[in-house]
Amino acid sequence: MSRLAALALVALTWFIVPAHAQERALGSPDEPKTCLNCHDTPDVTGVLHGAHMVKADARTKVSDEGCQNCHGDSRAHAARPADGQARPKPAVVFAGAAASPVADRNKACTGCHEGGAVMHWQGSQHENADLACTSCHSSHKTQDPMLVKTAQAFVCFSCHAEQRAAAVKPSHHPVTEGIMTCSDCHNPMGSPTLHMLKGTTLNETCYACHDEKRGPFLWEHAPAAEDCSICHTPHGSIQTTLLKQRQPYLCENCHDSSLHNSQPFSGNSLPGRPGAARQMILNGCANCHSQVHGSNHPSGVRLGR
Amino acid sequence: MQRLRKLLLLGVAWPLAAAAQDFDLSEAPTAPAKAPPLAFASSIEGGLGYQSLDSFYFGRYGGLADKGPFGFFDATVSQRPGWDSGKANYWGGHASFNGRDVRNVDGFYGVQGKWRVGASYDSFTRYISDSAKTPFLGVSTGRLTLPSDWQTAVSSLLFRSLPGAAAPVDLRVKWQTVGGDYVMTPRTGYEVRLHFDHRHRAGLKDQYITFGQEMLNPVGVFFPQTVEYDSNHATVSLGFADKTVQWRASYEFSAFHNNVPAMLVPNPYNRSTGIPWPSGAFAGYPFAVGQYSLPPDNSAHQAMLTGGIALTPVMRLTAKFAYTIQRQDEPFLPYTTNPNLDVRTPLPLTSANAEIRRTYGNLTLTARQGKSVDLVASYTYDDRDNRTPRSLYNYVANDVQDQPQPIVFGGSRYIRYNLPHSFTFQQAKAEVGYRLTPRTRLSVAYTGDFRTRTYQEVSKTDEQTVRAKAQTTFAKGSIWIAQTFANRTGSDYLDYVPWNASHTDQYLAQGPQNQSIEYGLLRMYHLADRRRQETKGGATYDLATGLTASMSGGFARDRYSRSLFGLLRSDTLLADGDITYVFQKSLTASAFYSYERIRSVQKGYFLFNANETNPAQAWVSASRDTVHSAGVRLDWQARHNLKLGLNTTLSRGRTNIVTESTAFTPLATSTPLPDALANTYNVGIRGEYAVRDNLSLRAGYTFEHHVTDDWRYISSLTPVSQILGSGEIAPRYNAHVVWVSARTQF
Repeated sequence: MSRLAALALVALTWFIVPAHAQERALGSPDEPKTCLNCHDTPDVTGVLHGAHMVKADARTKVSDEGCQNCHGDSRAHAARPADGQARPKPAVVFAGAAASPVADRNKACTGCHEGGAVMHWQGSQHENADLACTSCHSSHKTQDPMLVKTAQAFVCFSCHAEQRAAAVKPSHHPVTEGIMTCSDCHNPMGSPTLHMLKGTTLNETCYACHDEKRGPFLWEHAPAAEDCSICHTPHGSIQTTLLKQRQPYLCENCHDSSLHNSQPFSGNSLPGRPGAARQMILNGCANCHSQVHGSNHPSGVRLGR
Repeated sequence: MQRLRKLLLLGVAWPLAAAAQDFDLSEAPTAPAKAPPLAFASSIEGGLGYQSLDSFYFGRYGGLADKGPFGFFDATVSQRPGWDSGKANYWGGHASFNGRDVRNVDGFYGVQGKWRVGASYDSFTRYISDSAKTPFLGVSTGRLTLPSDWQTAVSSLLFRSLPGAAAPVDLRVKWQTVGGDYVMTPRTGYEVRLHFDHRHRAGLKDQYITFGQEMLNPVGVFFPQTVEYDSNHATVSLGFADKTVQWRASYEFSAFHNNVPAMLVPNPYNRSTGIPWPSGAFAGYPFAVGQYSLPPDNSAHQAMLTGGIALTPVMRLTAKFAYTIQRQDEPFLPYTTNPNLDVRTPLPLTSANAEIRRTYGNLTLTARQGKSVDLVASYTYDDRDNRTPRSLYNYVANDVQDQPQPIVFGGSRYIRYNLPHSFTFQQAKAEVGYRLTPRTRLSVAYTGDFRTRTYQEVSKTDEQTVRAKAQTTFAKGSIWIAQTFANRTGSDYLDYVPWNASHTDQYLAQGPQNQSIEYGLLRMYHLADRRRQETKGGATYDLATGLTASMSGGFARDRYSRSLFGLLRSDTLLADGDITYVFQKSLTASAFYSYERIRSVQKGYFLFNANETNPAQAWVSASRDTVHSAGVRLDWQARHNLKLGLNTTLSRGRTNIVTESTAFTPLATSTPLPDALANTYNVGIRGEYAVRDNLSLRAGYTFEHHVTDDWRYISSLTPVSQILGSGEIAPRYNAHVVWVSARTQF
């Protein structure tokens, strides 16, 4: 019997002791301290001031897994490397030449962040473009730039050069000024709406701020009700009010009726010339048709009052 | 027994030895030898500055618009107990005051994983124009008047005294938003969210009202519109998430309220000229006042359910459903407030009683087959059902015409039905990706867009889009290229549909059926058949240690192949280049250049006579916008306690329009249009000197040069026929801003 007990003890010891020995530092509540013994610069230790390292919040799993919750099995990394051999990397490396495959990096994040705004991540444009969550987010910083109003746009601009150029055009949404953010309109973590917009439709996204244009109006301008982007470009334009083209030419793409809005406008149409036309100055056609988004006046069929 | 002990010893020692061999933990003590340095999470900065000029354009998006000294302040506080303290409560806030108008305050408190409450206040001013002028008095109210000595006229060209009579008016709108939210986790996996915000907009914006008539056309009259908007927005949602299923159900309410539902604007003209009717009507100064409707109160209610489920470890289904009701029931204004006009037909309704029911649904399936193949397939349904009642409106045009009183009611083209537009949009989408290697992905996507519309020239359009993309990443960079082809076709273009739908049977019975408001051969570009081709690509490459270059670009071309008139074609060319250099973390330099060219060609037909088939009355116009944007940024850690920086941006925009015409289009001779320019150059330098680890002094200087040279402003105070404009002038300035501040971190 004692022999049997001894064998059982051996077997138990065989399986348990190594694991216990390996995890005596890592995977314990003290484990982050172990990591911080080497990784002690502010760009790393900032994580201690954020939501990801809160021992009292069981969801962060700091108590159980420590840094390995995100970085994966790091026991070999924490151990002394054999003489002449490089120190092995943690199971999940988020940056640098040895970075893990994007899917593995993202799995570390989506393992916890799976609901809410992240619900439509899988299959999204950013996922399919092989973006890692850490391509944009910096969870170790005390303040993730993606979550700072004045900094977020510059993170986006690092890839979206077209939008960066648009942001310095004369007419633009006040993104670089820190008044609004890219994520006021877009959900970069995925949305079934075109261009990853937050609203269910493009117009609904615009109405979040421009609700005075929502109507519904008695007299509608059908393209405006259907799709704001038929006339406007959202990120920047050298024409006023983010228009795609200058008035009256923009309007004449669709309107060619008798008299004043069927005529060709050229240099001869400028003030002081024989063919001076009021459509050429200031607000163009909207000098009269100022209710271009719709009118609720019973006499407003021409969108003029 | 000894053998047993040996066995036991071996059993214990072997795994321990194995462990020691695999992982020598002698470098992994359980307690740190030193405390990690503290990363600052909070800071306070305050400073003073000076700006050299008054310019709304310079500060147009919440910046500094006024000359003179200004103060600024920025504080961020974020407090948490130690990560291992066993406490999860946290609080923080941010307050900033930038110059004179931009203010932001927010704060939050919560217990992580249980609940969080937050509140915020935001304020900024959208500066529109500081060069507008108006003769109207009573600015910022709902009723404008003209000065008692107003020199009226029958034509805009005769307002010779306008420059003297008009007074400057600043056009700007202040946005203020206050809100709060509450998040609670009642049970593991569940989350309740409440959000509310109230936004108030107040100020003046540029607006135009029409009076008439002059030379057979209405006239546009600039007036400063009073803005007094209130918006309320609330959301309540319940969400759940675990490894397999995630969902969120929400209700969202949005309401817009206009405190000034209409504006009364006196007609500055003393009578209508050049028209045979209305006989006896007198609608000009000093008796006639026009009423301009401002955006009506409206509301929207939306119920939404969105969710995702992992069907298998490699297959996921997501869905989003929303049902929205938009309502607008603002009481109608009268047809006209002019008592001298003959208005005998009453309004058909007291309000539009407008209502939209919007139904939205999306299903998306994503799947992976091994590590090589991925698939996304989705279907979207979006229906805008406009239930606004259709009624007949016997409108008063331009506040100068009597209502038409035909023998048979409805027998006039001025008696019109409103057209409540409805749309249905369906989209089917599929994308297949294949990985040649773990870092190289090829994909092909198909998108089918199917739209139906009511009361429009084209009732149905279908667009088929195919897109192919290749992308790869490698040790030193990445490359991607994408090619898109799209073809949109529609049902027959029936230009008379809006005409017939908006006029009465009584009127159409007189013969004017199947006419068109627009020229019959015109094709509106959002309805017209179109072929689209787009090529895009980009590359990033690490040229050397710390030196990275990237470039991207694209060309997109639209051809409206079956349009004889209207927009015929357009294209966009885009090229960007970037270079970034990081030298030993002490110097970071980056530069970018972007070029964009947007071209379009349109064709029109001058309908100055009854001949609608004369080729000589056709005209062609080509527009070309070119934009050069560039920027350089340098950040240099000159010494351990001194940081220097430089930032510069350049934007040069040019609009070139060439209109060609024939002898039959007398309004367009060969006189070319000058190019319209908008150039901005901005350079800023800044420095930060660290007095201590947590205290620094900062200073900066910014210079901005801007020139707008644009004919839309040319001589706008010079009387132009059929418009009484705002007299705005093109912005042109050199601005200097200098500032100093102190910043402490803790």
